[in-house]
Amino acid sequence: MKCDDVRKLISEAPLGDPRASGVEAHIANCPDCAAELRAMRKTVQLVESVEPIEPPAGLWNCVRNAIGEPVQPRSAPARWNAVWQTGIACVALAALILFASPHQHPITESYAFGSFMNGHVEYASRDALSDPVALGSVATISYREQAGGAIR
Amino acid sequence: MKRVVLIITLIAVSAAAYLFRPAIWHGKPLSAAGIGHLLDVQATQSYSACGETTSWYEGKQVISRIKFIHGAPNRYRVEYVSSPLKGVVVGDDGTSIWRFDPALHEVVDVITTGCSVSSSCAHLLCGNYDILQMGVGRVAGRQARILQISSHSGKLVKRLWIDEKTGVQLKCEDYDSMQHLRSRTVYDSVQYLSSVPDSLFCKSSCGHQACVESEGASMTVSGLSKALGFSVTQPHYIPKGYSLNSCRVYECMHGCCPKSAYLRYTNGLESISVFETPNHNCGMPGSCPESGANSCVLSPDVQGRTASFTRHNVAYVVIGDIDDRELHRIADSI
Repeated sequence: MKCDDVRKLISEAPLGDPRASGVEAHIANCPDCAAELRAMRKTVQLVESVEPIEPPAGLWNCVRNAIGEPVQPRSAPARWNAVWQTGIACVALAALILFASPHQHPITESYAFGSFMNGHVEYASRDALSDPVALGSVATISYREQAGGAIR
Repeated sequence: MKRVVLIITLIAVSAAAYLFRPAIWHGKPLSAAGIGHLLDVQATQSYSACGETTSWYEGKQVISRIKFIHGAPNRYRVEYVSSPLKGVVVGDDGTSIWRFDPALHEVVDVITTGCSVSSSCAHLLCGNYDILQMGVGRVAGRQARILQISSHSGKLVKRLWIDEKTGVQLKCEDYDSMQHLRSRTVYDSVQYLSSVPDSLFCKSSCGHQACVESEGASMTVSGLSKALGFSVTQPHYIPKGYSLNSCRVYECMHGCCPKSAYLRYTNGLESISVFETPNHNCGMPGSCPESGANSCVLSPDVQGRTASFTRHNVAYVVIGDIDDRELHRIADSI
């Protein structure tokens, strides 16, 4: 077995049994691959030991509003900034996916009393300077969710 | 002598600069009378418009093409003509708001009264917000005045594009307490009409469908307590600027919960809702007896933040797009 094959197996299943995949014989004679396995296991254990965190309540709003903003033409330095910002955003998104599973979002708990939220929204459409068109769409979708439907 | 002249000149220049400052830079405030006039004028217009509405619901963006018909006074009909709301019709016949959804084959009737589009709201609105004219723009091929509504602390709440000739809202943007866009409706064509048939605003215009009456008429707090058979409690604390707008019976649309008391507070533009439900869990966070009385659970939502808790076998839910501390304070005062 070659080092490349072993490292591929290690990266795919770092916590797997090395005997099962035939890796054991190789790492017994290859200190580099053994170190690779130890480092990979340590990383996985470290990630698993971190307590799940909740994203800030406004994070999704920030993301979705940023998506909706028109794209401005950028100068060359601005493009480099954009590359850095994109990189940071990707890391943040990866961390979010890794540490915050959906069932831990408090927002999901609010579904349980969506009926009250629906009432709150519907009454707002009679307020001065309200937007009954947008409120009507939110109330309809909220009502459908309560009725067991989904946004189609 | 020279110094006195110089000081007087400086004061005069400063005063002139302040008085003749360009409206587009600083914004020209709109008075309560101006807002009252605008609301009155809006109510008397009859028109039809086509456009697009965008809003967010639990992280999902919902975009729909719409046809809007407004009939004087204060009646409207919205037809959603593209997916995911294709075929939905929402109407207001002046006494009740109703909604027909072809996906559910029913008309939902929501009876409301309160601080509806009237000049009496103007003072409440102007007392709680700064309304500035921020210049002009073009929407639906018409000249529009841009109004920006912000709280006194400077938080942007709403932006409106008002037809300069008729006072009609051609575009509206709503912002949440985090200053992010919550919804946007914009017309791309408007046609002013001399009259609109009354039948367009009636729920019967959508055919004879199953009808769900979800709410009752407004009443007093004591009347509400009597009607529901438990003591309805008003919060002792409500944020400055808000006042009680209506008290009514609120019935869960699917009959899974007993009838609730619904207290609605408004500051002229935004609202706080307090729901009180007796002897029932309703699956609300904080309403589980094991979690202990007064355990208050806060949950965020695009349309507002919620606080829920139980006390003496009554489940309370407070909803409003306000600060967590304020929500807690309202909950603690019940």
